[in-house]
Amino acid sequence: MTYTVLACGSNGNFQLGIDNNEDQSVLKPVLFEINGELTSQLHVKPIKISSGGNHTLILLENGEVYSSGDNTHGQCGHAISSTNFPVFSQIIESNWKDISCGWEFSILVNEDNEIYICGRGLKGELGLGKNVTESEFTLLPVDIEEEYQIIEVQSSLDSTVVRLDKNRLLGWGNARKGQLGKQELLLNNKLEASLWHPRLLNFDVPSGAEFTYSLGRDYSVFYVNSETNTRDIKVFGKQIAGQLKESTSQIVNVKSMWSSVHEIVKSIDNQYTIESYGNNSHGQLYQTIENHPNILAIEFAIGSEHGLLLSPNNEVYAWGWGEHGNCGVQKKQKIESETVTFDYLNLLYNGQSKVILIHGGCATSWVVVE
Amino acid sequence: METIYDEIEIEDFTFDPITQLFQYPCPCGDRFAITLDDLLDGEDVAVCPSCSLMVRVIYDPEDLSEYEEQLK
Repeated sequence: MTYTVLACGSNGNFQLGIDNNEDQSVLKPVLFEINGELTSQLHVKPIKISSGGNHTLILLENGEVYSSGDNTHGQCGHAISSTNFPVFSQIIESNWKDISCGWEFSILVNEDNEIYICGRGLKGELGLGKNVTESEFTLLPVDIEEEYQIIEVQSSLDSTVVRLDKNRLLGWGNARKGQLGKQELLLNNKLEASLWHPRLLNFDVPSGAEFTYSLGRDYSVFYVNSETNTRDIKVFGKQIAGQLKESTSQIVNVKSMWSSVHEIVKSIDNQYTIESYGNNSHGQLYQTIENHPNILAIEFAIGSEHGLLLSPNNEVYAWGWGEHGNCGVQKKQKIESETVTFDYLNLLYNGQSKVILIHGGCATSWVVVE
Repeated sequence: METIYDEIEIEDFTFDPITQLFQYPCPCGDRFAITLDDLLDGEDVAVCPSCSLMVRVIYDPEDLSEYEEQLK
């Protein structure tokens, strides 16, 4: 079995890894440098893609991680002497199990539950203290008393929340708006603006409860699956317009663009759809777009200001803000100023190869096929 | 009509005293930018050099003095 990663969208710093820096509105196979040769064929399955502002990391099933794009601050995990990587090249091996990218930094977690960090951050993004705003690949010291297993890591532009075992959450970075959970106020009655080192966070998640979370640009959204309340969604940080609407639907999953929240919900008659709220400047809210179906496949991916949907027929559709080709080619007749808005589901992929993973980045779209 | 994509507080921008630019990440990967002079003139829309998105900067005129201080 071989795998191909396809990508389109914003590409000014080679973040698509296709060996040029032109934006693409049609999916292109990305290139990997493996054993000194360029190839678009992978023999190991890609299991996660993560996007920063101008760089991309891809995690394979065997624990290898590849990166492409802007490396001005070392965010691709390579020495800063190379300012960009036009194709995907491998980051140092360490049996990686999870990855996440922020605006100009990357985080990698290995099977030994060590967290490595690289890139730049002025607001505590690196977790290495107030004096460290840029770093090549470094092991992050985590000073908490009990042992822990790392389950998953997610980053927003400038903050990171790591899910540990026993429903513990660890985080660092920009906390000014409360996006890193409940904090004690400082003497001036303000929140601590930056958490410069990793610390345990309080997002009101009961121990033992099932939960899922997603980081927006300046807020974190948590969905706790409690038996008494079918819609226990909490937003920490900047509040998002429209979030408190009541519904009898059952939430299945929640993801976030930079400025809107998207919930996969199951209605009483067992139909799935996406309910969105927040910023709708460019058709981001799913229920406001034309031809939105009640989706059958639960696979959806969320980028900075656009979304992707995998249909049961192996088709990938995009909606939202698509100025850089990340929603494909505009098919509607529109006045020039509106061509960047995809207020309808636009077909991005309907090829023969089976889609196994979709991902949305900063105006970039990714489809992995077998 | 031009659409403002979002409103961003001035504290969330990074200010570079050398270029006198306020910058904030744009969802395209580039950065919204506006100069201190523009803000002092009452202009409040930061634009992205790579796309059509714009944000309104939320600030009080008195907020600007601390940035002017940084120039000295």
